[in-house]
Amino acid sequence: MPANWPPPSGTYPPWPPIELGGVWASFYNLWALVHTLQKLEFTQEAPTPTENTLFFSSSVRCDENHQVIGRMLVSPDGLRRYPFAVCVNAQHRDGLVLWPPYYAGLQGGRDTL
Amino acid sequence: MPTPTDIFGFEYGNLLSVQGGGLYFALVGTSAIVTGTTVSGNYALRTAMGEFNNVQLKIQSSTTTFVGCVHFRFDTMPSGADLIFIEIDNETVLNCWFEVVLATGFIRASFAGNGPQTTDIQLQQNMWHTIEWKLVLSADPTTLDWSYDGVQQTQVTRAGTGTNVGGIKVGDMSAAGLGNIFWDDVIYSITAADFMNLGGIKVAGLVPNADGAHNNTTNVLEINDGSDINGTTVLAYPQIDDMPWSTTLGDRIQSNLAGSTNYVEMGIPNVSGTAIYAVKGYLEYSAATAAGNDGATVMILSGGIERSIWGTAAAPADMSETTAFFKSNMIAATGSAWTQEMANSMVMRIGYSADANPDPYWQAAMLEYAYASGASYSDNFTLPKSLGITETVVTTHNPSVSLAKSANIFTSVIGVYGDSILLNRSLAISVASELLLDVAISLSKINNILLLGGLDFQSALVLGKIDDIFISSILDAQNSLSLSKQNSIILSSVLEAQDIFALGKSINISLDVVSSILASIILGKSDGISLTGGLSLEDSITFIRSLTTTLFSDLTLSESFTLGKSLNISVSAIMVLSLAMTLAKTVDILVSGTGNFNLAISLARSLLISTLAEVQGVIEESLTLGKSLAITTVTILSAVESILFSKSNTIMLNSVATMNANIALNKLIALSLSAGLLISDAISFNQSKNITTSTTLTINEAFGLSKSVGISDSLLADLAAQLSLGKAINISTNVQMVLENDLNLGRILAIQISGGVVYDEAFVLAVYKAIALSSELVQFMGNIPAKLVLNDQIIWLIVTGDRLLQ
Repeated sequence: MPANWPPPSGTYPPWPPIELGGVWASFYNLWALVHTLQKLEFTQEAPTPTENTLFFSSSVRCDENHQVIGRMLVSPDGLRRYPFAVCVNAQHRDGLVLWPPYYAGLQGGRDTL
Repeated sequence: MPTPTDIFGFEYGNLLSVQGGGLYFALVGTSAIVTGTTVSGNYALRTAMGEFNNVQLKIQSSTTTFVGCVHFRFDTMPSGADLIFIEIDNETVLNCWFEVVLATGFIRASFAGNGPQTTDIQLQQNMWHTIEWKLVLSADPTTLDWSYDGVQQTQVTRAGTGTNVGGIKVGDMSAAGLGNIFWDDVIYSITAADFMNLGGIKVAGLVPNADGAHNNTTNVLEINDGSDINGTTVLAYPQIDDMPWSTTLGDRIQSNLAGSTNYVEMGIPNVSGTAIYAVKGYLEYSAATAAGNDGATVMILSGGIERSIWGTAAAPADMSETTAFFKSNMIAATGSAWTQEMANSMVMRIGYSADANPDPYWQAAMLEYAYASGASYSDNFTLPKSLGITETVVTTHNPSVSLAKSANIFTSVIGVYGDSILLNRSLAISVASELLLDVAISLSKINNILLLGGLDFQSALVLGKIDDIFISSILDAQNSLSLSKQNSIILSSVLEAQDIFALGKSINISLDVVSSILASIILGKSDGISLTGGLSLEDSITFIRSLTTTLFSDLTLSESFTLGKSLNISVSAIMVLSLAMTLAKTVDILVSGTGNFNLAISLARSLLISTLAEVQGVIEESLTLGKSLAITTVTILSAVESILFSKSNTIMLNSVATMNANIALNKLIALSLSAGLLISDAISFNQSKNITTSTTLTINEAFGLSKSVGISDSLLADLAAQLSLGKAINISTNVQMVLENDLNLGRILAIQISGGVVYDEAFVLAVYKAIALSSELVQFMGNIPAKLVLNDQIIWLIVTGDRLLQ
């Protein structure tokens, strides 16, 4: 399991986004996540310094203990920002997500962040 | 031969997770994998309507030519809004949508709503349907060819080109409606020629069912209690033959120590079907901890050819997940295509771990394979495209038969179907002998049904669109028969409908012999109905629009008979109406024999009613003609109950007419009775130009003519009751006129009596403008005083001796 992930509840909007009608949503990797939510006019941005501190500190590790870099997925109205991360190990490239078990596994963060 | 690139049969039996990407790209909302409602195999996907509940299936190939097939089934018709239920995600051009149009129930394809093309066939509830497509992104414009239930639809285009297809999404993408959509056997290919050649392919699952020859050693490949797998006392396959699968980690094969050459081997059951198109392997795995490790799951084909499900013997793959992860991979054949023998000879091997720290766990493994069913009737079978079925001997089909596309079905002897038949599109059905259907038959589109023997429906028959039905023998429908669009039904023998018989649009119905319809029959639009034998209706019959109805023999209607618009009804023999008959607009009703009407007849507009024999005594209830130009009966017209002609130009009776009840003619040009007229009850002619009786005119009750030009009786006029003539130009009796009661003549121009006239009661003439009374009349008065009113002056006339006193 990832370490220090997901961020404490209340520090980010509850998953899933209201744009999905409140139903459950999970994606096999971050590429599928972003691709699907882009259809709903979500965008992605680099985290702000505050978000970096809040969500993506050096204590956050993937399940193979690699450090991560963060990315924010922003709702169409710009009011909700969802943190996601990908591990820095090029072979592993685990994606850290907001639904159980909170990681996407091998190459789960590919091609996205 | 079709070459599927990937197949999705959902044969692992449970909606699992996106982890590992081996099953789904995305899961949105709530879905399930269920039994009982499938196209093939044991399981199908079910997505609920009303929310964004959809599943994006894994796509392994990036391609610019994307061919595919989806089978789906709605258990409830969509409601609330148009429903996008299939979406093909392509990354440059707009996504392809397939949606159900709420207003019509038709299927519409488009590029995200642009350039839509729509079927003209309604979605059918609780019936499997098939959409096949070919998306070509490499040329501008991008094209989407598609078919619905085997019929190619109009191509959809969109400007631009693309380079990749992102996935197939099925389910509710509109959050509309209620109920569920079922999905099974989703197949795609990157071969353009596979378009419309994937719909008949089915997908089933295979779970390892035996141990093979292992290559194991101590403490390498074990079951979860640490026992070494040996193929005798400790078997491998029971650890991974889970069905249905689960995300909960359970029994397993584990690699305790690394053994890059060690494996356990498991046998696979034989495949069904004669043609195998594709094989796909599935794996559920995990590990003791998240630290990196590896292992391999492979299939060994004949000749020792290795195909990977996850990893290979030479390059095992990472399995270091502490939750259930899923992988899948298509298994390529050793040659150009799969054979049944090849599929039956392959085995699965698990192991090959070069890094077993932590232990890799194999939780479950199985195969799906795509196949075509053979010509076996031992169980349910489906023929998605069949050009010809020929049966020269007796054939009994006890299970259901589904023919998505069938050009010809021919049974030269007897075809007996003990279960449901579904023919979505069939061009011709030919049955030389007898076709017995015990249960429902549904034919969406059929051009011709030719039954040289007979057709016996013991259950519902629904024919959506049919050009011709020809039945040379018996058509016995013991249950409802519904033909929504029908050009011709020809029955050379008997038509027996023991239940509802409804024809939405039917151009011609021909029956050569007797037809007995025991239940109601409804013909929405019928140009011609020809019954050479006869027609006996024991229940109601309704012709909304019928141009010609010809009955060469008996027409017996025991129940009500309604013709919305009918131009011709011809009955060459006898016509018996036991119940109400209503003709909203009828031009001709011709009865060559006897017309016997036991109940009310109502003709709103009738131009001609002719009975060449007789209208027998027997209008026992009221007869009402709103507008009738001519009524001719060669012999007898007998009305027991009232007859009402609001506008009638001519009524001709060549024989005796007896009216025992009221008769009222508001406007009558001529009433001609060659024989006689006997009126036992009141008769009222509001406007009549001529009334002629060649023999006897007997009126036992009141006889009132408000405006009458001429009354002529060549023999005898015997008026036993009051005769009241509002305006009469001429009253002429050549023989004798007997008035036993009052005679009231409001305005009379001439009364001529060649014979004798006898008045027993008072004789009153009220003349306001002009009178012309013959001297014979005035001098006749005899002993009866007559009050003659001239303008406002009353003149009493009394004959005394030879003088007339005023």
